[in-house]
Amino acid sequence: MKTAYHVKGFFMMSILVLGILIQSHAQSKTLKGLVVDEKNNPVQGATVTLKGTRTSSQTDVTGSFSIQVPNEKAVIVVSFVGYESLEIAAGNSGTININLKPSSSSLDNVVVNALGFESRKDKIGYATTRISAEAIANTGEAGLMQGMAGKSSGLRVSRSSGDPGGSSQILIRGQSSITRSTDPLIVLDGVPISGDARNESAGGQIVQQSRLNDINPDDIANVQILKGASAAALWGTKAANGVIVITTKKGNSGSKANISFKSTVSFDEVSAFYDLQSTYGQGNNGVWALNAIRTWGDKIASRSGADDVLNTTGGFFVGNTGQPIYPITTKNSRQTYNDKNYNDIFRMGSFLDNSLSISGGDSKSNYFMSLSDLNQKGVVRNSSDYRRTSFRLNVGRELNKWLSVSNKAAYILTNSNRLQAGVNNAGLLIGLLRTPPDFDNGDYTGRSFASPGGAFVNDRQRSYRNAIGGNANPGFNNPLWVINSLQNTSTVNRFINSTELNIKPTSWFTLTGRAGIDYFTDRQTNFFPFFSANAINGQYSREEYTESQFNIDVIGRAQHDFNSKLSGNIAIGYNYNSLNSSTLGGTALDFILPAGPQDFNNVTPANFAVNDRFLNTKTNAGYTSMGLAWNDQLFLNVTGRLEAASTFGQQANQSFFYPSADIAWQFTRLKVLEKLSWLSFGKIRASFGIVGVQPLAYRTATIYNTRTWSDGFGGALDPAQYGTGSFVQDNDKGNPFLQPERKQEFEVGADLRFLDNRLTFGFTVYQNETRDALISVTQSPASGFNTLYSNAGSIENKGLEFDLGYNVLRKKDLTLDVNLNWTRNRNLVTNLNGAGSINLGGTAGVSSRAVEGYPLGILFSNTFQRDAAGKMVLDANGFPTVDPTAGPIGDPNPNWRAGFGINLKYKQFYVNALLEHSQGGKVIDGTEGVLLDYGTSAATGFERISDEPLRRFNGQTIAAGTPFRGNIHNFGGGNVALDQSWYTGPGGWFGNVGEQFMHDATWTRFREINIGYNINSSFLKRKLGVSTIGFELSGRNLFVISGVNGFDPDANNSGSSSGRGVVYFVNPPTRSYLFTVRLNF
Amino acid sequence: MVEGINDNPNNPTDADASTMLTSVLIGNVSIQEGEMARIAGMWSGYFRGFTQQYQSYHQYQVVARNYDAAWQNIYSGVYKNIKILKQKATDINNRRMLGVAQVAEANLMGTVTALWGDIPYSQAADEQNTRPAFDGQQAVYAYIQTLLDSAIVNLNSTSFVSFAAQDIHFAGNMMRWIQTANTLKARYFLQVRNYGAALAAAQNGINAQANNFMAPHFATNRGAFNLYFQFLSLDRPNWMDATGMYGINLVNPAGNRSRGNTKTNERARWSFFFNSATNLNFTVNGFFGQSTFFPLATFSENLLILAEADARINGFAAGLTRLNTYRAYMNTGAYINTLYLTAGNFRYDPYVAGDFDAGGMENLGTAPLSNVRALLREIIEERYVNFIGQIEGFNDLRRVFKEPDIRVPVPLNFGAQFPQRFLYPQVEIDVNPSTPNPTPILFDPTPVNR
Repeated sequence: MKTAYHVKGFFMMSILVLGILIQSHAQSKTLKGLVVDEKNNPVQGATVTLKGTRTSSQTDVTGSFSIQVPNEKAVIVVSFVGYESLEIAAGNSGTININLKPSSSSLDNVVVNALGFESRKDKIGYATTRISAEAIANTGEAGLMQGMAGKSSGLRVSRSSGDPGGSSQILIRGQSSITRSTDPLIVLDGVPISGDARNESAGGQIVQQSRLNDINPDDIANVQILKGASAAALWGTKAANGVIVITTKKGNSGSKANISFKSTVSFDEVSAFYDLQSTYGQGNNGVWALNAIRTWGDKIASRSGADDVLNTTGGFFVGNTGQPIYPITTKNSRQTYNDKNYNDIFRMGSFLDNSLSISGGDSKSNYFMSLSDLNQKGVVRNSSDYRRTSFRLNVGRELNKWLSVSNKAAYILTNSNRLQAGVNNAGLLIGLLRTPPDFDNGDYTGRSFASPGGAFVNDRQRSYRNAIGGNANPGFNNPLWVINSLQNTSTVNRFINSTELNIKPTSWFTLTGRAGIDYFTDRQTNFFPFFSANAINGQYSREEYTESQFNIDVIGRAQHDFNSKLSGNIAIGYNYNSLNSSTLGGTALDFILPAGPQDFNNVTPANFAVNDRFLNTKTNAGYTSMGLAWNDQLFLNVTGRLEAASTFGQQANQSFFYPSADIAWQFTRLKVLEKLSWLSFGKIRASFGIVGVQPLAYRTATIYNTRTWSDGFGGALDPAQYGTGSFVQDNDKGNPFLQPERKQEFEVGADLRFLDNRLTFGFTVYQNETRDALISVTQSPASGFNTLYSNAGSIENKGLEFDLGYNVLRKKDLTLDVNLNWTRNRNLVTNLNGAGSINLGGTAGVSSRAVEGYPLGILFSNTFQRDAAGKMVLDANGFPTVDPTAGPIGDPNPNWRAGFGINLKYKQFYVNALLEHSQGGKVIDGTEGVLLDYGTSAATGFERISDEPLRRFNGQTIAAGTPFRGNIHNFGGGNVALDQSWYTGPGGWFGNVGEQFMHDATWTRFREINIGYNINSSFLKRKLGVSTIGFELSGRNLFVISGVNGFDPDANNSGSSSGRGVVYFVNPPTRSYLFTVRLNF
Repeated sequence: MVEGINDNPNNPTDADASTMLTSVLIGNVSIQEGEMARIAGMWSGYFRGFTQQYQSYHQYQVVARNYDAAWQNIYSGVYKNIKILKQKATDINNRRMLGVAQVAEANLMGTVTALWGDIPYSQAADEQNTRPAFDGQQAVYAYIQTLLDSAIVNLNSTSFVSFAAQDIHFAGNMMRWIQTANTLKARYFLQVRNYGAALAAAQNGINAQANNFMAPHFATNRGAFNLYFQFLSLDRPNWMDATGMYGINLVNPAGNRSRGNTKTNERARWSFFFNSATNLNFTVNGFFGQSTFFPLATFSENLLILAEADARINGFAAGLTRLNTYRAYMNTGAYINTLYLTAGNFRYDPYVAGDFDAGGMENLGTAPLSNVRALLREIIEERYVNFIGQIEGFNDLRRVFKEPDIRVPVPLNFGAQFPQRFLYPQVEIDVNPSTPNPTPILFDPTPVNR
């Protein structure tokens, strides 16, 4: 097959060479002209190109141009942003007048292909979506990631929590890898860059930043979403999850300096929070108890209301507010603190985003410079800040007729504070939501006295399980301690550069050289002072991570018109990619000096562990792309890539071939259809392609490691503390047969436009299957290994995508556009080769897994036992029994998603709005499950009376007419009492039965709305030099309608990883109100 | 251009035998002293789990996956590496190191078969067998005996290069390893009720407290702390205590089932294990303390094996003598931390025959037993107390379960049945079709206890 390409290529090249020799004999003359718009105003800066050549010119301020043309048959192409391009024959006259018509927004869009070159959407055979600069910059999101949500069919962006700068899961056409990343490839100005969130854990201990959010949204010219495999085959093993091609802005050639300034202020608030009860106090079995873990104590209203009786003769605490706190012996006070405890933690968050850009150029060069600074204070006091400062300089220069260079460089500095969360005793919400309503979390730190007038310990943590700080271990961290005493910082210095060199020795051939580097360092520190949960004697860890990705492409492109009907192009390229990372860091446990500096030397050598890792992967490949166009209506494109990578096993093939092909036919060019007035344009398309995913590095051999022996819910024994240190064989089996995953995708679709291009409609049906998916196949532990990393899985996605746009109004001053996108994806794990199930994330109680015959991410837990008829098997007391074997219980993936947008413009006033809907899917509310167990959930705050005796789970009976705390329920064997014994048993989270906490995850979200007004005033221009002033009010995530309470159903414990659908003390979601001012000078 | 750079720069792919030794020994300790011991303890009347998952465990609400992590540690962690280590020791002809590995293996697999019954063994940790068969429990016990016999031969060999620095238990003292091997032989004979063989093996067992097979712990670093301490104090405070449990009430002089009598004062031992009426003693002096060594096989266990086996084989007089030997040892303070050994707080005077006659202090009640059964009841109870915190306590309860006249009447925590085993882990059920099917439930005795 490859040989065939080469022969064909050579043949075509020969013809092309011949063609150009003939052309060069022609004689030339000068053509002059005037370009005006629909109102007869001159158009400045329009590009006039001699078709098929690089000869071009620009119109001046009067709209005039002149250009050398070979003869009167020559055709010139006039194009200008926002207007339809026009082709005109030079003719005999020396001057021509050209009227440009404004283009309808969704017409013959320019798209950027996988190689970073521009192409026409109407001529390609695959589905792709372009998101414009305005749509990115106007979202009101601080980060780029969320800004893309809802704007394209086939694209799913899910924010895992409300943490500033936090990562989101981006899925293009579902998940096509089981264990490898499902993040799409991010190509910025032709060069792949890191877009993932590093150091995220399945338990969600810290929501990490996404590196994609480093990009300043205001720098972006457009984002192209390449969804299918054929669009992406030129990226081989990087492209299995689709490609997001981001192009940054450049200055307009031949325009004066354009200075714009934008300033946005945003106010953010928590948009969903759990309902807590304030009827019952701390304690157990209806009795108040100091330091009790749970809130199953007395009824607060039944207390006397007098002052609490204190024991002032023993130990006590002097808190940070200076007040002494004595242990309560009798709780009399009816005061509750739920609101105070909440307000101590949360605030109105805000951010201020300033960005300045200067751009312009002359006829041969262009420049774009920007500075931006985003300073965000999250909704959690003190500890959820995010600051991103970026600088960008993009320059281009045509050195002479055949040589042009451009360089795009950006430097980004990101600083942030992260929060402890998730499955983690140090987490924020664990401490807050488990606090009993009658406990005041204030005075979280202070002096703990053993006796009146006695010695004291400084800086001791006080929490509801440690009311006078008498214990070094607080149980759970006081949430105020989490936000004030713990520190989790990340500092990223990032430099991204891409350089492009274009050599165009003749009009039909271009040689492009492109080199790029994405280099960043990420310093993450975590500090737990003395008396913190999980680190009673303090812990400090620091990690210095450096990643550098270097990428080179050399691409030769040639094009030729064989005759008036047939034209062709060919590209041949070479790609080299090297990814290096190194991690150096350490964890220091148990400080020598409790209040010592955050330094590794503040522990004994035995308590210091080093993390020292390197990663190096290299990929090289040759590729080719060939296109043919017939009669401007039939377009065929074929690509191929032959790739080798360092991560493949010694026993496997060393290189793999990734082909693709797509075909598009503009059937409306048929004579019979050209007369149809209602059908403006029609194209059908089909494409096929294969892409891949590389194995993880260093998995081809079984390693030995310095294992610590962990102990269930307890700690661990570390052999390094004994003897002379030790290495043993790992429990993951190396695999010398590793090869890439291969994803094969097929799609067909159509793009149609009706009613004079006012109604646009596109749809795509796709099917893809990933074979040889890399999974850690669960091994029988008795065989000596827990896992074998191998190409053993397969997974498929089938889906439908619709994009609909309608220009409802197109008046002189008034335009109204509506658009709708709709996506349905069906995912199925078709084969795991007997690997059982693969844990992708979640919690111990309910996990998100890959299970054969189910969609990826299926929720997996124990259930109540049921008989053949589906009825619960009840115990003697009428309560259900737990099935000891876990199984799939629900699918977290939505049935379909849709985005609906409106753009209204009246004169200088505009409104944009975006609604998004996600239908179906399941989510597990682990938080609520725990709050039931702890007795802080609002659902446990009721006093009930039954007119019949009720059984409790523990077998006791509540007599008729006796009030009890809890709920009455019938599992099928008559009414029973759901009370402490039930909720702290199988009815709560720790009873292992996840199905009780599963909810429908359907939601409708008002993603964004912008209302703005632009002032164009010659008066301002004269007085202030400001040509335009724009004001804009925006709202972001103003409401979410869903069937769940207390959290965003899109939230996820496992961050941006493949594990979905489990929420467990995830930091709360936010809504934002923004105000923006734009100035153009 | 892309070749040769996939060699792992971060981890080695091999290690020699002596480098592996410490880790496998620590691995075995983590099984004997960790989560398995705590779960066994909750089901033996020693501990009360009252928070989160431990509340469920306490009420026998366990599911198959609760055992995944331990099972993985046992097989792909410890056992596999013992097997590799044995091969490497054999390759370099270090017979003594081979012997040490064999003793550790016997200790590990003895515990595993006691808890799970039929287990993968003869085909386990073998690359050729991805679905290793489950061997019958009797066959496993039989193999462990031959393994220990082989270990004793190897430990007596003179072919070795010193590994004292890596031997965390005995620093290369072969006499102690040999005694440990014999006590383990006796323990596993006892578990299959081969009392004669147990009696014989125990004669060569651990003969002094100094020779105890102990898991060392140090206060230097968390990774060397006692696992009970880590759990009770650091990782899961307030998950587990001893409130209302049978064991604490047996030794608490003020407990409602106090076993104290005119010849016996348990106050010191009670303080050592429990420093209040409800709490486990994880202070620095307590059994569960930060750097308290944890018992794996001890002189006291060996004495009690001798006592029980002799009583069962040779009758009352022989058993009583053995019990009094044990009591004499206890009367020296034995393993109790010296802090608690205040005069008057511990007393273990010898019993006389009359104490076990009907109406004697150890045979009261309306339905007196024969003197030998009463003696056995006392020995079994003594073993129960001796094994507080150890898996052996749970093993003993199940072994004597069908002898209601002498067993320790630990009440149920929940429901109507007493757990008789650990569940096969989900991860093995999922992947290995050789796993017994239907899988036994929690209340099915293991084969030797049927």
